[in-house]
Formats: sequence, structure tokens, C-alpha cells
Amino acid sequence: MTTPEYERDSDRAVGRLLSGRDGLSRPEHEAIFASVLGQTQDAAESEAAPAWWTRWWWVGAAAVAAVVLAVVLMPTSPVEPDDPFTPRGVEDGAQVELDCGGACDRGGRVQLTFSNAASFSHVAAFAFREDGAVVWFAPASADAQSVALPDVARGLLPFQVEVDDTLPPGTHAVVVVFSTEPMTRTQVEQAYESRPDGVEFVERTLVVEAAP
Amino acid sequence: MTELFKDRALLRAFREGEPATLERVYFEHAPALEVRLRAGLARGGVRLMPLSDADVRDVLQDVFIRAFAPKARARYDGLRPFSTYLQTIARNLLIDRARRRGIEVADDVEFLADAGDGIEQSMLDAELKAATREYVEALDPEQRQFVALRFEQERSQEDVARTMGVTRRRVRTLERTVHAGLKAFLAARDLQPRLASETPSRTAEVKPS
Repeated sequence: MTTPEYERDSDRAVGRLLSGRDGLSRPEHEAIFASVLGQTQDAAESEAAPAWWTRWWWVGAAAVAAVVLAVVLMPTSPVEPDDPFTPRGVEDGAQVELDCGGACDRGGRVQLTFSNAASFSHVAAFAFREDGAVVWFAPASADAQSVALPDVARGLLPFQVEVDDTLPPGTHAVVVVFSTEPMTRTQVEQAYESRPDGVEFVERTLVVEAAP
Repeated sequence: MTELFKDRALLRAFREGEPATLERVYFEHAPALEVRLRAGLARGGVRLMPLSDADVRDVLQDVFIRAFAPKARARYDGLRPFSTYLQTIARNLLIDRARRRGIEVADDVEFLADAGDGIEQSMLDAELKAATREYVEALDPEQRQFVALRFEQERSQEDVARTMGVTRRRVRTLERTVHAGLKAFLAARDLQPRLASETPSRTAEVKPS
């Protein structure tokens, strides 16, 4: 992944000075490799499926369908490692648990507990709603960046999910995005496509029930 | 050096696009290819088409994107050394780039065996180097160890963290701190870190083939 420190020539030069040679520094090579890997993965995915990030409706529908299928078929269905909606981090990597504190219905709040995320510094989150719409939880706005991750082994994410009109009754896919650098919503979208190093996606199902 | 043509298990992982294998192959081949790109192509001992620093980065990236593309991985026969395979891709890319710019290039151009000309295009003048040495020597032991591992030995953040016995987050913090510190150190001395000139110092005229 390209880190902000090496996007400008003067910053590249600083890296090379520290390296003591004229050629690309290790961080520059890492940025190039991340781009190569991202584009290589894009190429592989584009051979198998159409680009979907920009087609939100289909993304949401596919996400929810995948989640529902996973739940229904869980006892016997094999897990496809490259399925973008396969819950990740079940055995290793970052972990996320959703807790409604009871029933998940309108007016409630969902707490997100994370663990095993020591290698990340920032977190973003959004949901693919059942109808395909995307609901952002963090960053708070299009201009903001993902929020700093508390430096604890296990704890609450620094934001809550309000179950309001934006999350009507239904099955939604909540996506928590751990990264090593702060990211804007646009950068999260791009990373969701390219799956670069330094960014990990954890998907969890949120079932919102109709209020009694 | 990764011997994809000898290690069949490695070749299989490469063809399957296993990220760790791709990373290993990249870092074992990219620095050498970078040297070749900076040296440039030549024909009959005459150097052609020297690349700017930005061009080197672009071409290096393009070469590996092509080499790591799913179809290219599947096509790689595992018989030729991978470095030769990469150089073939790079050479063809450079020829295509030149022709798109209206420059006729003969098909028999090859990379210069000696990259000495590229080294001459040094971005690091003596003053910058001396100031950097002074800065690094003044760092605390942890920061000096970080610079040695991360920059001089070109190791990954994970590897540096493991070696130093710290978290990767700590390594990232060290990297930002040291990087920003050197920038400020140089700025305080009115020194501006810069890359090699976008116009190479020695440019052979490209002649039609």
C-alpha cells in the first residue's frame, strides 16, 4: 500500500537517503508491489465477475444473499476463501462481534467489539443493507477519515451503530475495515476492490427485527 | 534468488497467485530489474532511451503487473530463469513505449550489461549524504536499529518488528518519526531532498533503426 510518506518525490528522496543509495527504497518497492498485487487481483476477479463496487444495488443484494446462504448452508457448505463476503478472521486476523444488548430493533444500538487487531491503527465501517443501499458508520462524512483504533487487545470500536430508519428490519452485512493508515470513504471503496496489504475486511451479519 | 524454474512447489504457488509467493518473487527480482531499467537499453554499445525516475517506477510496476497477471503466470514455462522472463517483458514494454511516442527502435536492442551510467545519475549529493549520516548517528539506539533494518537492509515492517521485538504499530511509528525527523533536520539546514533529475545527465540520441 502506498503510504502518505512516500507519495511525493521529496519524501521518496528521504527514504532513499535513509537507505543510503540512489535506487528505490524498501517502502517505495512495497508501494509498487501493493499496486501490482491489487491490479493483479483485480484482473483475476474481473475474469470471474463484473466490477461490482460501483454497482451498489447488486453489491448489496449479493452481500445479503451470500450472508443468508452462508447461514442456511453453514453446517455443510464449504467456505470459499476468496469470497469477499466470507466472514474473515474466524481463526486468525482481526475479530469483530456485534451485540445489540438484546433484540436488534428500531431505537436500539449495536456495539461492536474488536480483538486481535494489534497490527492495525484505524478502523472504518459500513453496511450493505438488504435492499442494496450502503450505510456508513465511520468515517462520519465523505471528507473525514477512518477513526483511530484504541490501543487495546480487545475493546469496543470507537463508534456505535444506531438502529434507526437507515437500518430497517432485514438482514444486513456489516463490514468493518481495519487499516494501517487512516482512510477516507473513497479509499475504503477502492481498497474493497483491490484488497491491498495493510487493510483487512471483516464481515458480520446484522439481523434487524421489526419492532414489537 | 528465487529459482521458480527449479522449485516446482514454488512455481505452483506462483501460478496460483499466492500473495506471499508473489511478494517473495517481487522482492527478489525487482531491485535487479530496477538497476537494468536505470541502465537502459542499448544497441551496438549506444545507449538508448534513458528513463526518468518516474519512468523507472512506472515501468517496473507495469512489468510486474504483466508478469503477475493470471494468464502470464499460467503461461510462464518455468524453464527460463524468471529474471530473463522479466527482462523480456521490460524490454518489450520499453520498445512499445518508444514506438507509441513515434520513436523507431530496432528489435535487437538489449539492456546494457553495465549499469554504471545509471549510477552516475546520483540524487544524493555529498552534502545531503553527510547530513543524513549526522542525523542517523544522533538517533537513539532503537531508532538507529530501525533505520539499519528497515532502510539499509530493506526489510519488511513485519520482519523489523519481529527482529526488534516490538509491535508493527511501533515500527510504523518509528518510520514516521524518523522520516519526519530527517525532513526537518534537512530543512533546518536549507537542504532539500530530491530525486535524480527528470532529465538524465547522459542522453544518447535515439536514431531510427
